[in-house]
Formats: sequence, C-alpha cells, structure tokens
Amino acid sequence: MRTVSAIDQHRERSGQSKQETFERLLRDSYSQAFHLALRLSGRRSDAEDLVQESYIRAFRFFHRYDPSLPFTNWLYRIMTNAHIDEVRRSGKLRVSSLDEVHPETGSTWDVPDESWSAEKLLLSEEFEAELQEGLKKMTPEFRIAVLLADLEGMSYEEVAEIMRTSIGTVRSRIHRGRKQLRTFLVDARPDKYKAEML
Amino acid sequence: MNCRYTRSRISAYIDRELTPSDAEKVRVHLAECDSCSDECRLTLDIRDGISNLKSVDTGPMFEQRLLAAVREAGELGKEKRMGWSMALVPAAAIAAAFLIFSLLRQTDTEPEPVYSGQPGTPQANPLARDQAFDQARNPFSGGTTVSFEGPAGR
Repeated sequence: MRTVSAIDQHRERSGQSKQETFERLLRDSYSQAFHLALRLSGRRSDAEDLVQESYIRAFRFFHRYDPSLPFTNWLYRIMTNAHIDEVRRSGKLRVSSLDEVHPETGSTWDVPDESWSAEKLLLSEEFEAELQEGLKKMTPEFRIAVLLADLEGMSYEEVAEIMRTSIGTVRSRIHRGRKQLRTFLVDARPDKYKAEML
Repeated sequence: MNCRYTRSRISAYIDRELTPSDAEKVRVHLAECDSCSDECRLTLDIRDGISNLKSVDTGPMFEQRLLAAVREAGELGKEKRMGWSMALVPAAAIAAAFLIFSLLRQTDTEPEPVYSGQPGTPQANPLARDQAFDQARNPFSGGTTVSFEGPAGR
C-alpha cells in the first residue's frame, strides 16, 4: 500500500515540485537559520557549514516534514542535532590539543588559535562579543536551549519539541545555561561583572 | 519559600513559564529578598543581551551557494537511485540468459521414456506389449497370440 506524506499532499495542492517547494522554504528561512547557526557555532565559516549541512539533511528527509507546522522549527531540530554532532566530533580534537599537559614541560599547551582570531566575529558591542564567547563555552545542550528560547523567542514547549525532551528538562537547561553564562562573564571580566552580578 | 527555591525558578519566572501560583510565590520572595532580586535582574539582562544579539549579513552569494548545495545533493541522490537501477539491468540480463540457457539445455537432452519395469505392465513384458500393439491394430483379433513355441510339455 502506498502512503502519501503530508508534504506530497501539500505539493499536489500547490502544484509545485519537491525541489520548488523546498527552495521556496529555503529562501524564506535561510537568513534566520544563519542567525541561529552563527550564535550556536560562534564562527561565520562554521555557521555557513552548519546551515548548509542542515538544509541538505532537511532536503533528504523532506518527505517527513509536516507542512502544517513551521518549517523553521523542523529545520532547527535538524540543525541542533547537526550542531551537537559537530561539537562532539571537533570537541575531542580541541580538548586533546589544547588542554593536554605538555609531555616535556608539564604545562598545558598555550597555542594561540589563529584561525579563531582571523574569523572571529566583529561584533560592534563589547558585551555582544563577551556573550558570544560565553555561549561558545557553554554545554551544547544548554546553549541550544538558551538560544532557542532567547534568540528565537520560543516557548519552553516549542524548545522541548525541537530538542525532543520534556519541558522540565528544558527549564533546567535554560536555568543552568544562563547560570553558566553568568559565571563565565564574571570569571572573564571580574572587574566589570563581579560587582554587578554577585 | 527560600532563596534556593526561588533562584532555581528565576529563569522560568522571567520567561513566564511558571504556573500562576509558583509565579506568585517567586514574586513575593523577590519583593522581600535583595539578593534574589539582583540575580533576577541580572538573569534578565543576560536574556535580553542574547535576544538583542545582532543579525549578521550572510553575504550576497550565500543563498546561491545553499541552493547549489541542495541541488547537488538532490542530483547525487538521483544518481544513487539510478546507480541501483542500472546495476539491476545487467543482473536481470544475466538471470534471463541463464534461464534461457537452462531451458534450451533441457530440451536438447530430453531423456528417453523410462519404463517403469513394474510387473504386469506392458512395458515390463515385451510379449504383452506386442499383444497390446496387435490388438490396437486389429481389434477383432480377440487377442490371438501367435506363438512359435510348441505346446507345453512337448
């Protein structure tokens, strides 16, 4: 028996091909998706890769998309999964290269990350730059929850739907994420934030 | 209501994600506790700071690059599917050739009828076979058997 997905029915009604429907949705959403990807990854090149990877995955599984729901919510679910995959992949490399104790000197590696400096976002406000740095240091699941809620203005229920978890877990992740961010800001700039925040 | 309880709910409170009764409890405590009230304000600052992070322009070619990547992925998907189809064609041709060859070989080597050799059947007894043959040719013969053998006991 042949099952017709919701997107097939939608395409039949609109008279558009799968490619045309997807490209229209891409054009409508890619700027917003890039905005989130940039804050998730912290680097323009990483954000571009993340957005591209997310749209390619979305296209492959487009038959599973339910057009009665917002496309961006569905895309963000794909994007956050892709982001966590990427963090897990690259995280191992970063930890082993920078945080390991040097076998000869006994000190930790102190190598300036030139690629990061070169591509670091030129945020106009100092606070924005510090926030972005703090976001980068956060636990990925906390960062995703905080950004979906604060940057995208989503309710906890929507965040829970995207992250496929309970509202209680989302509440905890947002709370702990903001706490991590606050701690980072105080540690990074105690002169500026200590008096204000603690 | 204590500070620990309140602080664990400050984020949900400022996001309006608490039940009305919980929100009221937090509100009452914040009105009484300067420390928790400060934490609430600072959490609000962080939330607003993130909300107000500026959008960064993607650049003029990004949309085209994305579309090209998606189209390429679509083409690759088609090629993969085509690849499977194309791989099936020679497999099907080989299977068909094998079938035809087997059928032809079977026709060429059609075995001779094998007599069952069961006693009482015409095939088992050549004489009975001949009688059956004669009867078929001359149904009125009444089964007369011509024998070159003399009477028994002679």
